[in-house]
Amino acid sequence: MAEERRPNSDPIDLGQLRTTLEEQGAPWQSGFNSITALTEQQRVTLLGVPVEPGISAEQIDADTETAAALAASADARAVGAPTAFDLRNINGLNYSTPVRNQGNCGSCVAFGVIGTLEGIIRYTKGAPNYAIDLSEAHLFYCHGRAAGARCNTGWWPDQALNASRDQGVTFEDYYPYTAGDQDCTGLNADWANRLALVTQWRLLSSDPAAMKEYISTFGSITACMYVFQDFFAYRSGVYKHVSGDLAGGHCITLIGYDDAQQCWIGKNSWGTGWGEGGYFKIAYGQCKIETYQTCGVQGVRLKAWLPNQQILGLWTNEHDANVWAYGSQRGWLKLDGASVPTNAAMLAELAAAKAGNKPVGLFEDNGSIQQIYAW
Amino acid sequence: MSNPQYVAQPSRQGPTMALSRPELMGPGIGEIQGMSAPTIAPDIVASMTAQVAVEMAPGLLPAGVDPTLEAQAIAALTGTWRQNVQVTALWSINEPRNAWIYVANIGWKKLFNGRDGAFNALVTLASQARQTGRPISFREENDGMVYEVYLW
Repeated sequence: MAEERRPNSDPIDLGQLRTTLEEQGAPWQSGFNSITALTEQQRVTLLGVPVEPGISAEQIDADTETAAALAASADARAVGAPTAFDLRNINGLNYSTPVRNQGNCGSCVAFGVIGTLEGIIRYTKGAPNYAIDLSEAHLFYCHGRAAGARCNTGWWPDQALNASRDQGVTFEDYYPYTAGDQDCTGLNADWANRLALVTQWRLLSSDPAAMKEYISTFGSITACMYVFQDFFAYRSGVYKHVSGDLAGGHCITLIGYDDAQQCWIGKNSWGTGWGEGGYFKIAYGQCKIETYQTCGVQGVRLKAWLPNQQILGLWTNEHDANVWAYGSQRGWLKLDGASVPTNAAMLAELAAAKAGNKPVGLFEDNGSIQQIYAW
Repeated sequence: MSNPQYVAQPSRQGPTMALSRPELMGPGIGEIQGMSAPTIAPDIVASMTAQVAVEMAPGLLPAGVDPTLEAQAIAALTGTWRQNVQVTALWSINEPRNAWIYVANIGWKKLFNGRDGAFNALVTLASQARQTGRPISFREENDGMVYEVYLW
């Protein structure tokens, strides 16, 4: 774990930044926002990924051109991916969950990872309205704390994903997030029955083609980036470092890319008052975003009650105990297929609920309905 | 498994009476009926025990969810499909797994009869379609039977 971090320099001058951007053709727009309103100490606290010892801003910038060329040449079409993808607009539907605010704690890894998991859940299940909200507090203050992570040290996405795979992350209502170190006592004792588990994940660092493939296939990935002081003042456009010192390492969720604009589309955890409603675009190759640490998740298994689902469709075919129900907020789910009579009983209850246009409660585990309440 | 979302919990106790059967015989009946072993044709046994190679999942979506994905799913369909049709009548007879549905403007169609579980599920969906007037989309194979049903 990294040592406690300190601000590297004085706050950036916003007026000077604006002038510098204009001199460089205004590649992006800066402005006063909820993050520039903080002190430099508070801003640096947000950056919760350990920085490579001894690395300098010059070294990071020196790699930019090569990395940008590599990302640009990573033809998305070669891996079956589109040339542009934005999780917020897939055939007019927004699969991204709301932007969160990590507050005064270096817990960005928990937000970057959970933003990824939530996006994957909605996108892979074809359920843009699914009310999924996972607990960053569980991930950071329980799993992270056990690994030594604190607000002033930060964590790594690979470790967070291992914990999400091996132990799982409960839902926000079972451990609501508040900023500040905690000892996990806020976790609901029933958390094991309200859980999201990563099925598989892998490192994508230095492989921009795979990054594009994972984003367009699963909806989002987790990435780390070095943050320079000018990034705090980002408002819109395609960000690239123009001024300011290195402030630290940060974790975010990548929800898209655009080969025409040569940029990644990121979801930050600094609230909607920063950037483009909490989102940003960053040019290929900038801030070591492809190489620092990038992780792709191949699926998320849910175990939870789904209250108040309207059954919009039922499906079956020639195979025994192969019946599926379409829940209004969740999409297709298979009825438990362990036995034909159990399957038939569940189908009868759901068919009756559908006929009466009555909501049902479903207990889902790994895409399968295990229990039903029909009120 | 606890569930904080729901207060009402159904009783875990079922009916306590032992299974009963009628004790009186009808007039003129000298022996207990209904004790003979069932007879099942070999082809039915074979179909009941046959291993399912690939268990499919639904691909279509309810109307209005995502028109683009819906169009892609329809394009990927194989077999003969009828989309959004009405079941207006049902027929069954005292023969193993023999039930038919009448589809408006198409006619009588026999439901797949290869396995008990699949047959019962298809009958359930078709019956509810007729009862509620909701449309179905179904797949018919070369033997003329209905193998797959979406009930919307």
